[in-house]
Amino acid sequence: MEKMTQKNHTPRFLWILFLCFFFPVLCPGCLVAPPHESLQHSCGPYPDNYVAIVEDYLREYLDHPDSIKDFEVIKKPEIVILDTRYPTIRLHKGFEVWEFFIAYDAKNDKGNYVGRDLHVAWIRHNRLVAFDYKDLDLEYRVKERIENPGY
Amino acid sequence: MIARIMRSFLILWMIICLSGCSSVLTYYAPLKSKMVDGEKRIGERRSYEYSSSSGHSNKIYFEKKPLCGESVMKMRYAQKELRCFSCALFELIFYGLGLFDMLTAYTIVEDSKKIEPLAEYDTGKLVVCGPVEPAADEVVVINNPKTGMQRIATTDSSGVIDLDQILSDLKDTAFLKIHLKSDPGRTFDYFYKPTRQASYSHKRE
Repeated sequence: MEKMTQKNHTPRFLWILFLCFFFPVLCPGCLVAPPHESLQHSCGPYPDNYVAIVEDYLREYLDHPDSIKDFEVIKKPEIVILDTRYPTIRLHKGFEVWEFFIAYDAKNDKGNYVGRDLHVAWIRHNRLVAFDYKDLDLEYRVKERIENPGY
Repeated sequence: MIARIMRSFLILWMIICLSGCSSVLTYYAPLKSKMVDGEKRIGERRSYEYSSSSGHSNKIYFEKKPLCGESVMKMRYAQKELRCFSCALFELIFYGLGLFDMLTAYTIVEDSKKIEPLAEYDTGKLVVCGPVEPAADEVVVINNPKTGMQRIATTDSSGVIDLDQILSDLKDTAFLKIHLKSDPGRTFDYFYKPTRQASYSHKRE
């Protein structure tokens, strides 16, 4: 009789364990969905204000943003399909990005001009997502999200 | 008992070694992109770099070097990252299988290498793109700051101006400031001493 009681209690114990540990872990993942745009393969509408977007980023990123000279758009935004995944940027193979090239010269932290160089920028859904194939600073991303909540 | 555990451990480790940790992880790694400079190209002539030299006879020689714009082809260089290389080193200790793993991982990295041109852009640098030649038919501005005198002269086909001819009316020495009209930023000082006066004074002595 005692053995029977023990057998009946075991599944209930497992359910309690599941509710106590697994449910609180899985629940936030179901309720708090990631931003809609990051899951889409498409890159959104043509970014008309792409120069303003990248200038805004350079103001945050450069040591001497006022020192920018010889700024030029080398290639206007064109859709590019990614050939690999970028884990740090959270982009996957097959995703589309608006890719454009800019060139400029600016002063480094020591106050010297480093020489004019070409840079690659990617925009998705009117948001700068990568610069020179690298992830953007967290500080900029937070600021940008606050100013432009998007989806 | 200990022998059995050791044997099980070594068999397990051999299976791990055979799996090729480094190779597998490298194979599934994404491409990592970076930007590199490709071929440099010298564009059209943009300006000249002028230089001058003077002899004892109040003749000034002007020379010029052609300067051209430099453009560079920017390339995207992408390849897989070598992963878990230390695993292969560890595998090497036991059966020497690590060597195979390392070679496979390196081959995967080499095979994944992808270089594609992005765009050619102007670096803004000026490079010398031709031999030094005489600065012929260039307008030269000669100033005497003390008296406010200004003379304009033109270099001959050899890039020479003769100050004795241009300043024939000047009898005394003078500190002159000379520059080319096309290169006003490069002004140089010249102490002018009339040649005839010099020879004359020599005679008097």
